[in-house]
Amino acid sequence: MMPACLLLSLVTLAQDPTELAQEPQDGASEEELWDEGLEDLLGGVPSGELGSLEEGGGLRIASLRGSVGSRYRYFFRDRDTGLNDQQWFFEGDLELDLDINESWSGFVQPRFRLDLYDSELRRFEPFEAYLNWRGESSDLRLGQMVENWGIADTYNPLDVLNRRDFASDFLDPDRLGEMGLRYRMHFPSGEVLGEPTLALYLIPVFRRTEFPTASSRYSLGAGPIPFREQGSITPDGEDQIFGAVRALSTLDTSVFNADFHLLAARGPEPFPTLMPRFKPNFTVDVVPVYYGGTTLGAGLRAVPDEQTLGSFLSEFTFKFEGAYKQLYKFPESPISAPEDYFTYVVGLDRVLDRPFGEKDQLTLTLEYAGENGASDPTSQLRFFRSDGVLRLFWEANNFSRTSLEARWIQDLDTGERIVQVIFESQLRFLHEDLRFWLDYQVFHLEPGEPSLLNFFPNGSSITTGIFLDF
Amino acid sequence: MSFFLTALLTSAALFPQENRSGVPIPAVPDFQRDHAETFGRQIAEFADLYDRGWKDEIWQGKMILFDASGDSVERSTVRYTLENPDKGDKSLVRFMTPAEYKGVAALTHENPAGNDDQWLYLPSNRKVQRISGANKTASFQGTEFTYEDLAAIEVNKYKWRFLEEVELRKGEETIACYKVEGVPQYRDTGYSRLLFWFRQDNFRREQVEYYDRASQLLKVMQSRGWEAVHGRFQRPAIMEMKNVQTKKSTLLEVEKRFLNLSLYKSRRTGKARPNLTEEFFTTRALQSR
Repeated sequence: MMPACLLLSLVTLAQDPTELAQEPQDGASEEELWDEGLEDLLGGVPSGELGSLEEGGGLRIASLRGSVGSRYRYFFRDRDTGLNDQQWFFEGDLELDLDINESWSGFVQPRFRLDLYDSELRRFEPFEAYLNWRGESSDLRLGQMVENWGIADTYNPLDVLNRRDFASDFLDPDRLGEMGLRYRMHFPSGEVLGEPTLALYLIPVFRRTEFPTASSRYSLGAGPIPFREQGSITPDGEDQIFGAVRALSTLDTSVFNADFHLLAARGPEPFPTLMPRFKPNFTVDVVPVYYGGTTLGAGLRAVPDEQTLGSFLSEFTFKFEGAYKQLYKFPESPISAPEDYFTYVVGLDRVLDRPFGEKDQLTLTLEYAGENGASDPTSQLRFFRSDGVLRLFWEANNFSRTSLEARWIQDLDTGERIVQVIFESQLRFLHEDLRFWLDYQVFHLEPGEPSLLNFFPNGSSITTGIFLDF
Repeated sequence: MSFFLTALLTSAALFPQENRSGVPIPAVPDFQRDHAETFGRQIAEFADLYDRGWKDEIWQGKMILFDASGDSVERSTVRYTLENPDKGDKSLVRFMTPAEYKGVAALTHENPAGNDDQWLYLPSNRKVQRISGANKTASFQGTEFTYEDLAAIEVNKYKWRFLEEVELRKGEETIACYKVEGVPQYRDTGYSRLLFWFRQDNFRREQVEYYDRASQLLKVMQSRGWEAVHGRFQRPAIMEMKNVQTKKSTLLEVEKRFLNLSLYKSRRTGKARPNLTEEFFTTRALQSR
């Protein structure tokens, strides 16, 4: 919260950028070329690259964007269980890019979300609010940040930085910003390794995951045993600290060109184990018990070289993302940590031009997500233990920017599947930037199988939304 | 407005300016005119050589897309390019409008020998993704331009043939041109051949015709409002691509253009600006605003 307040107050005090313009110096003649308007086009450039803003400085809003809108979701199976069978969200966000001086810039993204059918679901928060410092060969980010470390489409074992907000959508939860710092060191590119970067992360304060509310269809307290989120068993002291090291680079070989990541991270895991707690009065409830995890992982996204492997293969993008998870319990924890495991995704993307029309494009994604190494009861409830994913994303590339996305997730062990179709288009007859979408999800569950989804009502739903982007 | 801009820039082009770029204009070589393939290639090579030395370029403008009925939409982008004649140019495109695409950025490292390296940054999911550079025939954001059309012409990737010397009429103006055929020699092209009209006095491309794989005329690109930036580098204010088969068209209209940043002085400091560097064209920079 602190960086957001700081930055917003600085915005108020910002000088008018036109006041910073100076008359030509050094005896410059009128024939000389001045950089009128150039600075506006040169945001986000490392120190010394462009020589902008180096003297005088002054904070200014370099760019502003955002959206506001509403979406309504109707669950059409397992209704009338006493839980909310519909959601009606009003939400919006604002993104402000701030230039402070040559080395410092900032970013603030406040957002709000409220559900008319759920009085507990109210979010007013800075999604991100941070300051950036850029040096010649390193940069620092300080504040609340969100990053996506994933490579695959549907499931990302490497994406372990941010907690999730399970309240508004249990299966596709939004990220929550983490407060801390990121320091990146940049190294010179070579013939094979390009843009080598070493990134260090430190999140010193642990914050709990946001769970579905009591009236949500995914409420953890909907069963006969009450869920006591306030009784969470969380790490204290040094155990709260999350730290990570990421090494990133491009790889240019005669066989393929790729981006690869290596990751080592240690700290509290964002999603806890749920433990029954027996009370002296012979009642029982369920509390979240957080534990720690060490993650060692690697990821690769590669495009085969056309000259070596031919043009057919060079039209594919191949990807791998895998992480070994070693879990450990905190001293306060009354239960042992789940068993270690290896989780991974392999897959490919293929883009087809003009499959049906004159300018359209179809992206086909095929992925397999698997897990090895653990057999404890907790592991049975994890998603993506042996799942296939097929995604088709069609973009019309027309004036209304119409798109259609279909995703099929199939659990190959249990037979469970989720099919989702999303249609999106601009309502140009009303406004160029008014976006409409329709999302249809069907869940096929296998009640006899061990699956987390079997604890909840069937999540099949239809959602429609309308948003104005600006 | 466009007419005014065009007229203004055309009049500027009619009155040659002093070359302030520091890059001399190369002497026209002794063309081998009796051999159509050699002469065609020499023209293409010289046109390429003629335009070298601009170092970096920032282009801000809008794309106006028209359909056959005359309905239109506007999109605006900023394109940053780093000249790299032997290894392939590097470019970064940032989308300004429509609002939904604001912040989306695409990075391309051209590869003269094979497919380009390409990355896409989508701010909605905070992800930089490498994508296959094989899809050159795809429409660039729904325009009549494809990625292939917007990439720099690599002379070695075409088989050239001089066709004739022609007088190209553009409004009141008659321009002496070399008409040259270029047949793409790379896979994944959308064209069977291209016809170029190279202006004889400064070798800029006045017009290009694109023929589809069935050898039918598909598109015609015309450039107008030429300006000699720094009195040296020819750049059009407007590029128009007309699809003669679908009757759709796209206008690329420049709003701001900077070539060789070191030739501009900073209003803030009074000092010359540095040129863009390789660091600007990295996946790290892609995630910045």
